[in-house]
Amino acid sequence: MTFTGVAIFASGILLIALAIVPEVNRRLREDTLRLGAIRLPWGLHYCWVVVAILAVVQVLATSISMAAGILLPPLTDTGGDFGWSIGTIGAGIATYYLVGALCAPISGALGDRYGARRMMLAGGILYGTSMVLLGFISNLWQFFLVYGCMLAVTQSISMVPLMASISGWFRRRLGMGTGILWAAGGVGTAILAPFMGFLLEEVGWQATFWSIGLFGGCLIVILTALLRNHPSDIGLKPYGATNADPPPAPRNLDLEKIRTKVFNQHVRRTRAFWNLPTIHGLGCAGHGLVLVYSIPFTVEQGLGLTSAAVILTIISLVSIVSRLTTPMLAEYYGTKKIMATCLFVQGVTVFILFWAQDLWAFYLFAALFGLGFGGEWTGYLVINRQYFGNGPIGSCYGWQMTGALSGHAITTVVGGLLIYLTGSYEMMLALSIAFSFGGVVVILFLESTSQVLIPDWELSLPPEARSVPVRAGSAAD
Amino acid sequence: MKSVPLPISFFVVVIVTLALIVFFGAWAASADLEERNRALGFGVPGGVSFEAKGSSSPEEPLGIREAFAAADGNLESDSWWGNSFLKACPFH
Repeated sequence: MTFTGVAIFASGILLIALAIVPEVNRRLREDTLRLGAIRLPWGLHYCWVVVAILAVVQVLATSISMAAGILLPPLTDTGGDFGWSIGTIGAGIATYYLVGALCAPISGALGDRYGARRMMLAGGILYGTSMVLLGFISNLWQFFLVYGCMLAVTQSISMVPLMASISGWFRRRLGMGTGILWAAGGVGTAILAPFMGFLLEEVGWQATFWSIGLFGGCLIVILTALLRNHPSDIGLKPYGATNADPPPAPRNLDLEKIRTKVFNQHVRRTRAFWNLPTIHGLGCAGHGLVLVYSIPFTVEQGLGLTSAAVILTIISLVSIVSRLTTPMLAEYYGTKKIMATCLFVQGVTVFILFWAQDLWAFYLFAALFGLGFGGEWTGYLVINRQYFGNGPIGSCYGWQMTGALSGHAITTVVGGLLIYLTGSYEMMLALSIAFSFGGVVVILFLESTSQVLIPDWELSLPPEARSVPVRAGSAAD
Repeated sequence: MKSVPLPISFFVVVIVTLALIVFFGAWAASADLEERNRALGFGVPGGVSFEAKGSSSPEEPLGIREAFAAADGNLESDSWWGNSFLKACPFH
């Protein structure tokens, strides 16, 4: 009853928000004009403000999927308010990944068309509403609706068009920009995870999600005022752009629609368009199995729950190093080589778990696996630039996220089935290795990153929608 | 106009993954029915575990029909996913 009341109230708020969209748009345009006069101190480029904003959004968005592990104890506690089985919650998490996978290309395409700023506003409102509603759930269908659907849409809005928008802010050094973005997100996540656990223990279920939802939703909406879709919105060139670089493409809603449509038609004719989501899916399936089942596995090996949790912490902390360095190395040495290396490291380190008995062996595994895991998925924005130039990559990146989330959904189901059937973790670990090595094999089928695959896509555009085609220089594989 | 390249690796991965899901799903369903007398319900409505209902004892395994009967005779709703996997898998 309470949930229904709050849901109706939240729907009312959303309707009011929709009704004032024209006013919000007018304000956003005025803000853009005002901000045009602002210059940051010490010659700092505005792209770093955008990186900082997106890092905050990334931390909050990641808190949704991270919440899954933290929610398990209160949701499964038979003496608590819920007492649901792990299978039930697993089905909810699988729904979350599947809905996210379906929404990712759609939100990417919407971001290409309407810009990251409006998507961020929508994401902030949806984040706050969904998290507050999560605090009210009492029935299973509410969990599936709020966590499995609403928060999946929120995460897809937060992670696809917003993260893809960073590409437009860097003409050069995109690897450094994305590396800092992913690493900052990793640091924030490492802090937020124990904080969420602390809140759940200290203030309970409702207060935890109400406070995180209201704080996070408001923070995202406030930060929307500082975000800009493109450097040209505030009279800047992308970071690293020179006078020799082409001017920005003409921008209005109709031209953006034509450019996005033609760009995606050309992208879909490349092998990379199909292979990149495949690799992302295999990579995420490979580490998803380990991340989901590492705690029960290590506990079964005779280690305590605290030691098992330390293993996840080590993986998270070490992955920050590779999150930071992988995109940079990918830009200099070629993304194919770096992605293949990281996936190979992710796969080969799982062998350690077959004979690990002592704590040090598990910690060694965590440190090495974290290096591979952190680097496996952080090079996609860079390789998109290398393959597809400076076009609107939101939809394309969305398909790659579809692959990633499908990989997670599959691991949730197949990993559980394997453990159920065999009564041990060996087959699950072997499957994780097979997924990672499968990803390495598919990387071999990728085109070289030495030149843009669709250099002439703008020739299919009407003249008024064109900018000068760019041939991105990058390391060859 | 360039021709669309055939994404062989994409289709191979998708087909192998689907095959794995169907194979393991059917294996789990047949194990439920023939060996363990319990249902892996995934927790979704209709996927109720026999053990959770307290109607099956490991010491006294029930037959397939008895096991379904023990689950309130709710055969269709209890095993819709298992039946689907069993029909789709040529090995089970």
